[in-house]
Amino acid sequence: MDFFEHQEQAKGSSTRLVILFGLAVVALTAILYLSIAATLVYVTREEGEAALSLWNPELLFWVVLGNSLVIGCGSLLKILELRGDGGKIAQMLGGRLVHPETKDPAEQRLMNVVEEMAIASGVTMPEVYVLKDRSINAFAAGSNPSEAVIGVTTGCMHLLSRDELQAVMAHEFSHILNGDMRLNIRLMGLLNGILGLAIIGRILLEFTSREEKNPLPLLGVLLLILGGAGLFFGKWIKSAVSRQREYLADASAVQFTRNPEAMTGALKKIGGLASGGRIQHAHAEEASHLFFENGLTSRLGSIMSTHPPLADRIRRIDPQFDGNFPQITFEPTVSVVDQEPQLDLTQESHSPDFMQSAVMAGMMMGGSRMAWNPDQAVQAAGKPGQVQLQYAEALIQKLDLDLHAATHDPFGAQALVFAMLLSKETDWHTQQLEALEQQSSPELVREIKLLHPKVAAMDPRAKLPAVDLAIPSLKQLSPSQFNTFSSNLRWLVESDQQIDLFEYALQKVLERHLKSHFEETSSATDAYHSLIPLLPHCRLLISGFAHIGHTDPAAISHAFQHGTAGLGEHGKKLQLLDNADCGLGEMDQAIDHLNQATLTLRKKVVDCLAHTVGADGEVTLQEAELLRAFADALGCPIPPFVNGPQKPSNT
Amino acid sequence: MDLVSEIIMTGLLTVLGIMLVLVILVALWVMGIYNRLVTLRNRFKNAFAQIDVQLKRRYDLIPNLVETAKGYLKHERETLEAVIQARNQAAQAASTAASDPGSPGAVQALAGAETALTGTLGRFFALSEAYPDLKANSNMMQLNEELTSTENKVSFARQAFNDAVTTFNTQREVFPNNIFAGMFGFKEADLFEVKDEAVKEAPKVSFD
Repeated sequence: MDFFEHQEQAKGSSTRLVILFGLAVVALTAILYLSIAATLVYVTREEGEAALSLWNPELLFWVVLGNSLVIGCGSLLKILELRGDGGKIAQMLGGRLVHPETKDPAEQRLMNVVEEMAIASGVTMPEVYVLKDRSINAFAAGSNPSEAVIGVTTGCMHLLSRDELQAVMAHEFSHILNGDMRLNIRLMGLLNGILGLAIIGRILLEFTSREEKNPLPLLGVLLLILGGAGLFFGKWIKSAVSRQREYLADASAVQFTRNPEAMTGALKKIGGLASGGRIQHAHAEEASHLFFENGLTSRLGSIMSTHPPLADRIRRIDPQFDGNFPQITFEPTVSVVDQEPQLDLTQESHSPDFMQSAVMAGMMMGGSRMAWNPDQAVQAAGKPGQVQLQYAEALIQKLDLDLHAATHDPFGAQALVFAMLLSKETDWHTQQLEALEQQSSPELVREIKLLHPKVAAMDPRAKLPAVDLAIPSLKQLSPSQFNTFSSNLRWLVESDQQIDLFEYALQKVLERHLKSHFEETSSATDAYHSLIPLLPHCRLLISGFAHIGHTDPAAISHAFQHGTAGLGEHGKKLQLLDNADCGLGEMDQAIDHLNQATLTLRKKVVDCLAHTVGADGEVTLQEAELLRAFADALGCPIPPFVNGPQKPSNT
Repeated sequence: MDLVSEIIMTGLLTVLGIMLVLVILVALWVMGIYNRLVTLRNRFKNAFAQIDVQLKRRYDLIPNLVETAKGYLKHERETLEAVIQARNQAAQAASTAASDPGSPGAVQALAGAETALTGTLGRFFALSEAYPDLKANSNMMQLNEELTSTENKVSFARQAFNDAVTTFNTQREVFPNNIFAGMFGFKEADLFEVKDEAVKEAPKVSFD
């Protein structure tokens, strides 16, 4: 199953969630109504008056209305609050943002592991938060991959080996790539509504006088009981929906790292630790399903648990597990030796020499072509493997230290991005720098000049990953700093007539990932459910891609036809556009419109682009990176294409 | 009497309903204000962390700088010592501020210490102008360059921090937030403002 199918499946779980939730609300309303009606009957009977019947349509109306209002508001508000930036959830749980230039060895190791994983899956580097808790646990939050954040407890950071930490991170990344996060946010939101009843109950109890005939405190008690029932339903819904996703994430993680011992090792350590995965925080209940392992003790046993039992999870990976957990105590030590990735030396294809030489070979043959199957591209999306992980490790190690450091702070990240987008012509880029001095600051231009020679010497495959690494630092810009940055960015792209498609794509990637962070309103998503209104835009993109790397009209036409073949009947009717008509302005519009389409449609478009580029059965490094950049700009992360022998995937 | 008690019952329920709704709305509104202030406070705390990282880098570079210069500036011990002292004080102030950037006075104290440090460094570099051997030393040149880069990063991070603090302070002061801000314990946050060193006094010329 690929990335997109996972997302679809997650949507299915989402529907189930909504149905279960609806049932719970109906049940709660019924309970509330019956309780109030029964009380009223009892009270009036006591008075010796004609008993009211149990069936009271007016009461029913008010109860349904009130209930819906409370639950509806509670849910809606929570969903709105949590939507978008996962950082809000992280902060709600008391998390502290880790700075990429941290001096703490445990944090450094964590950041290294997450960076490798981000590059290997082709997604932007998420923000990383640390929760101060001795238990071993982690979570991923945010509504989509570009707004994802990862949280890790100090116990997890210190008690796990590098490989085990990597396994846990892979599990979290799988949640991001499998579409679980949106589901989780919806879950948190809906449940908040049900819990709202209990909160109101408590308020009523506390603030009203206890006169004999005053029904308010009684109502308060009722609401409290209801709240408890709501909590019960809530846990039940959570467990029904989230357990399967946990098994799935475990399996995806093992597929990612090809290191089952690391995963079972991590799970065993949690089992062996006295506090296990338990998070001591007021908000742990709300977010319990987001965690790697159970964040709460469940008095109702494992039925209500958000996570499958540890032993079962271990057995799914290692059927030989005997059920014994090692004893662990908390001792925060992370040696410097553990910082570097331990490349597995026992298997031939994973030897460090092999990876280094593969990367070196790629560097030497800049314009080299590799044989390539276009279907590979989209299928690989969201399903990174061990080969991509090792590629990511090698890429980071080869990356110039100053460039890597530049991605870690907002000032350096800006300079890096501008340096990447400067004109290749010396005269023109000198003029650009002079203009930038006025539009930004001389200090920034100084930094750009320092980085520029290194950027010019960069491996083309490192450019998109560098941008992905720089994004969390750019998110730290203040709103006014961001405005200056984005207007300068746009100016830089527009002022350079020679700018190539790849650099343009990098700008779109930045725009996509940063806009959602800085703008409170989210743009229309899923506005288009059919590609038919978007055909002119598809035509433009495919034409643009067809012209890349080809001068022979026959080859261009061939590529175009290959690309439009995926669009079916409508595709056949499309006509190739001239190169002159595929300007950046038109591309901009095309991408912006396509971004309003559903994920499935965008996948189709990326698939078409992949076929356009691979029409002649081969693809250059530059073309591959261009495809990845456009895919990223369209919200469909594709892992890096890696040369060399790959193990066939098992799904 | 039945009709009357029925009317009273209906009336009571309606009032109940309206009261409930009002209570909920007010509670939600206040919660919203609280959450917004918390978010803005977290934002400036994160922004401070950006400054802190660059300041630490600066404080790490300075001892190297002094070590390199010691050999050349044998008779300028006072200046070198002043640099180290100012650096230590600033490092101390930074770690205090880092533990809680929102506590009143902490960031201001840091700003003062930083101004002093910049002053001593300025005198140090002015002095080293007179020692061409020192200026030409490759280690010195590299350190100088790194220091400049770091100071640029500090300046940039300070700008973002001040933006975030201003936003927080404004939100704290507007009506009706100001009513609740005090109740919830949100204190006004300091800006990180480094003053330029006072212009050196012109040498007095006497015509006795």
